[in-house]
Amino acid sequence: MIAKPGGRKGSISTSSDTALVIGGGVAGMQAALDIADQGFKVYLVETTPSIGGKMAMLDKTFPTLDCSACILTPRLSEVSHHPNITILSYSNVEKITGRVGNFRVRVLRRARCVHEERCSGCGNCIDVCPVEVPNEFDQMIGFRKAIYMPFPQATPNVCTVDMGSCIQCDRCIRVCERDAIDLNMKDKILRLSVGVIVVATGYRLFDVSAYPRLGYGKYMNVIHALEYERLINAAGPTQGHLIRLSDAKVPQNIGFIQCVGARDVSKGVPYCSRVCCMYGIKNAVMAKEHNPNTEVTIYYADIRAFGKGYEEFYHMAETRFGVNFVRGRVGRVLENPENCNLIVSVEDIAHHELLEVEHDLVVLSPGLQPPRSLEHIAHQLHFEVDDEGYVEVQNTFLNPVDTTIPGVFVCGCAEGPKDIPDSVSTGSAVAMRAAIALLHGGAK
Amino acid sequence: MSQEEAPRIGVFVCHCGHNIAGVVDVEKVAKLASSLPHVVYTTHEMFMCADAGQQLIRSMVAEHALNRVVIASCSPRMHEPTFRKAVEEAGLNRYLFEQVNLREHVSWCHMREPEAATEKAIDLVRMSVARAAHLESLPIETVKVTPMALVVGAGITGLRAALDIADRGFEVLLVEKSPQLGGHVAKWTHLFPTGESGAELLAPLIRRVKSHTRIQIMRNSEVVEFEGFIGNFKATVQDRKDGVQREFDVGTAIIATGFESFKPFGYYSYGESPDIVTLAELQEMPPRPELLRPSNSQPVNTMAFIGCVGSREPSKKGHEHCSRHCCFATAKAASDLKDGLEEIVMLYKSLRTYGKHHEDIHRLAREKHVIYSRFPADEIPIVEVVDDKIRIEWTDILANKRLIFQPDMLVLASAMVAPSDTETVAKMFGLTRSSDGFFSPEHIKLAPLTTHVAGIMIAGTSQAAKNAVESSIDASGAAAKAAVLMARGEVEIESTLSEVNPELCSLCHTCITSCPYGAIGIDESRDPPVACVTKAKCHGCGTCAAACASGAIIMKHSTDNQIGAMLEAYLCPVQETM
Amino acid sequence: MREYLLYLGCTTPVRLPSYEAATKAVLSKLGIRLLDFKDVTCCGAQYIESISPRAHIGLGGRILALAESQGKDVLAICGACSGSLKHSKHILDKDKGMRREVNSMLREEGLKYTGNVQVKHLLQVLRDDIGYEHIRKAVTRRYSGVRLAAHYGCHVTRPYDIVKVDDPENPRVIDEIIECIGATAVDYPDKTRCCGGPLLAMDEELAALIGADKIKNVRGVGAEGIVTACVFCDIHLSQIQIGDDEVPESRVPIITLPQLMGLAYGIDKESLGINLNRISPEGILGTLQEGVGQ
Repeated sequence: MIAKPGGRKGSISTSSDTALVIGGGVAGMQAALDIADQGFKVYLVETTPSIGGKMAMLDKTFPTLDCSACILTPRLSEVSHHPNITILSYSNVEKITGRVGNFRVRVLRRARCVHEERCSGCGNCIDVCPVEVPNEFDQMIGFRKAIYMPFPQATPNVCTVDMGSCIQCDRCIRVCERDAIDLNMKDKILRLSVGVIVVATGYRLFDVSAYPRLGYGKYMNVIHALEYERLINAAGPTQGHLIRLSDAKVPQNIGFIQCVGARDVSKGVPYCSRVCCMYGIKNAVMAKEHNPNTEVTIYYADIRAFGKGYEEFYHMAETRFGVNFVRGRVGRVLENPENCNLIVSVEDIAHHELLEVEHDLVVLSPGLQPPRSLEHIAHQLHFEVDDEGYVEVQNTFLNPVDTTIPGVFVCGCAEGPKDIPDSVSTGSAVAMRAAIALLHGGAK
Repeated sequence: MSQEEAPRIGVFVCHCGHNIAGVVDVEKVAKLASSLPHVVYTTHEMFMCADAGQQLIRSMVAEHALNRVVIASCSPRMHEPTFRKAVEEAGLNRYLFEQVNLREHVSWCHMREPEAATEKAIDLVRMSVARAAHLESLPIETVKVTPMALVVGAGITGLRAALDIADRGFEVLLVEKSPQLGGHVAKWTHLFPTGESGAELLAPLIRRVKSHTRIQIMRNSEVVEFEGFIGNFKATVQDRKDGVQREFDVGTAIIATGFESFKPFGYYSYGESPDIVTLAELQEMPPRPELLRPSNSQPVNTMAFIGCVGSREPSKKGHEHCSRHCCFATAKAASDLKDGLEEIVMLYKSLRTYGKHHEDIHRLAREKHVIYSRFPADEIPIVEVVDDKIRIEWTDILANKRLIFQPDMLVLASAMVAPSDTETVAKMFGLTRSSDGFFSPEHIKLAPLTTHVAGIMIAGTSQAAKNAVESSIDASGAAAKAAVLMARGEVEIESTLSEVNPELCSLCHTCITSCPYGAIGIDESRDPPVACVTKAKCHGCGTCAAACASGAIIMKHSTDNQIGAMLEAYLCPVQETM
Repeated sequence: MREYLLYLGCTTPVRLPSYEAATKAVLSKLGIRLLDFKDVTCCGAQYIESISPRAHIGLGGRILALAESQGKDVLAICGACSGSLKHSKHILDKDKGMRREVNSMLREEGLKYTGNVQVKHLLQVLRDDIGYEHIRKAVTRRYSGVRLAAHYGCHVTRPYDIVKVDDPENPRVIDEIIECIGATAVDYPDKTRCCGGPLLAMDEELAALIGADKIKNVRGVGAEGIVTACVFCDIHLSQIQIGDDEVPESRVPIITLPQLMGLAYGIDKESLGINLNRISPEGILGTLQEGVGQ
């Protein structure tokens, strides 16, 4: 017996052929699909209004320059239509007790003030809402309404009301043909009983304002990579037109600064963030694709192009696309107040020169960190985490996706920064381990 | 859906965000489509693949009583399954749906010519609408999946995959070429980061595999033939010693044939001194309290490593890729060995300590005063062996100086490459290879462990250069893919097959000999006998239909009428009104 | 009442006595008692430091031990001195061998360093012992928004682990105090950069160039003065503007923080040594408004 989402408060589900996946990004979705395809039931809990994770925010992905939405949306669709998967979005895992074979989970289903089963995602309510607030999905560059859908392919494809911004004018209610909006909706508690748990909580980006010398937050034309993604994304705040935030001009000379919040002992992030070299190169190539005459320079420490097709992509960026690569970690960024251009000070190590290069746009590539929610989950489940806050696995070689607690598995960036292919592989790997555990009631 | 009903075609043109609409005037295409014969509904939509798009298909089929659906969007490779499912949910047979590729075939390759691209898009839609009118429903067939997996290769990847599948409850046939289980890892005398030897590390895994009731191990054996289709493969395994062959029916296969360590003859005087070894050779050296020089068994006092040997060489086929595992492996080796050595110098082109704890070990090596020296990519070190002494000369970038070092031992971090028999394996299993020489996954990002051959998975270093931990992850992932198929017990197969019209067949045998899959035989039960197609083996490639001189073979879903309609629509378009 | 031994260093008494005077006047007004620190020597910053690190730590250790023997903490108003003394303390606290060595030298005078003494810079005392609220309340004459640029120098805020005064990349203390007393603190490019002073001994031209850069940046944002909290910085930034080519009217006034504060507290110009400022800050003074308390 499986509890239906939004069911009676405290409705019980008991089933040890059920898995809980915490996190609806690409890794969590892969795990959910591969578990569900084997005939087990899956609850997929996601804290934001839609599954899709960070990948939904990206424009193109390396090394193939696949459009992220294009390869992701069929997955979103597959997950939402899968008879064995129940998506619990806009929800948080509050408490977990028990052990493998019988974990008892308390899930908080936050009130989105829209009845999921009635809303058709038509968007009429969004059109009439008079409140505009900065849009988190667009990294605060664009705007959204108080009633909103994070992105067009949001799954579930329903609206959510941000009650903190809602002025309760009721215009949305009046225009909704399905009577789907209820501003008095309350949070609900759902109690689940599952046999195994998959931690797929993803990552958060390093806050680059921790480097005041790079000018983020001070100078308008210093942005970070995720803001850049939204700017070049056709579904983003500028419809995919890459423009400077200070004057809407198209940048002609862009500088990408790597390793901001990675490989830095003094900022508490001594490890490599693994994906920034590649996404930096991808972003640089995208700049060239948008406008082949743009001068594009990447300032780096080492280029970690280690994966399948990555070195070839790096080579293509340099030769075919003409991206400049300067080895040197940028010392500081100053602004030219006349035109809001940036002046980057860096040592070009290969040529033994100190450079002061003027760019009209600077993009910082932030490193990855564990998301804050991971700490709470770790606290609930008592699995080991490493010094940086990532989940430690039981045995790196033999059980690389098993946590130190039987029946609890980890995939995606919750274990450490990783790219999409590796996140997908760990998602499938976790599904295998979870399935075995569900069958045998304990880790093997 | 009967053929007698007049076609009622719905045309859905997708913007695909900016991808199509940025070049092609999708509105114009949709508008024009509405004037085409049999079209009763057209629209354009931002993302047809998203839930909203699929919902639209379902609603419009119902609302307009559509019995054919044409979606002008991306490549069928992307979303054909998605759209087929939507169409089926709307109550139509999936073969009454046609996908027009306006992205890979139009907007992406004619980016700078929007007008011409739009004209081409219009042509393609016109052609597909014409074909759609002739589409027929085809029955959906399923086949059973044999609940047994073939795992080729018993390195860490094969072992892990075999164990996972067996624990999951399915039978496994584990085939290993060599006499030993454990692959490369078992030969390593010390491991990173735990310090155990490879054999020690794998021992529990190997023990469990050997004792598992559901795993059948065949050592000293090779797969020599492999045929069939998803869920129903037949593998012929031959013992390398006595040549005895055995056949097995398997439902899925995981190819975990691993890698080969490149022997860098021609690089850095490799081969000219026994003291110049590869990283792999170092990792396999018998464990001793002291590291000894291979040449004279004297203790090593000074050592050098050179990275990227045979890797990252643009335009050298099979050597363009990064071998991924070496930067960390050399850092760990140097860090471990430094305690007993006076000097270790690490010459590198790029430093890729990307993974968990990699930077920690890198820092530890430096703290122990392992000297990291970066050389320019276009000016690699020169190594000479003079009077049995190794002499390395290179330019250190930071110091901007020419340096010389004469170590007792030189370790070359040579490339991880595809094994020499990869082409044979590829042909046998019908796999394709990427430019790096390893097998191609179905999709490099979202499907790294499956291949274009349904039911066959790749994992570990057979897929790409990677380290043992990553291989272990791949193994469980590929096992999951196999488990999914076997757990379901049956899968659908494509109905786009060829069929012989017995009335027209003259039994000339042309089709039988031309079929690359050996899928056509003779139906002796008829008089006169005629050719007949074994559905399960047919790949729908169309070779037989093209070869048949009598026009007796029809390709389901690619009939002469359907193709003919497309040609006619393109060459003789009816005057359209806008 | 909080007490400190006032460590003046070598330069202040000779080349910037106004800084000493203003510090004493302002801190007394704000409730800090400053005691004469007798018998101290140079702290050894930069000059001794670069020749003999051990002699440097020895000098610092002695000064700290002297303070310890009186049971009082040290307030160093020169940035270089405060950095130097903190550095010495840091080494003595960590390195037992060094401490033994220094204490054996100090035994001659009957002194001993046990670590029971703190070194503060003026900015720490102002923010932590007095507090912005009190600083604001004591104002009797407010500056009417005159635009001032804060210059922190190098040794006050760096290296953070040793000096622990303020965020080295984004220091705020001087800026906050400027705002407390009614002026407007302006940001300018390269705010945290060195003044160039320490290079005078080796490359006068380069030292002047670096200082001139700072002046240019400050002028570029329309600031009307630079507020300092270090003797060396103050002297150098003033000195480089006094040359044959400099037009007197275009010079940017340099004023020490306690002088700036003292004027807002109604302390007379003479007591603050305003007349000794090489570039007259009359422009800044002119913006003071009487009787506008907080």
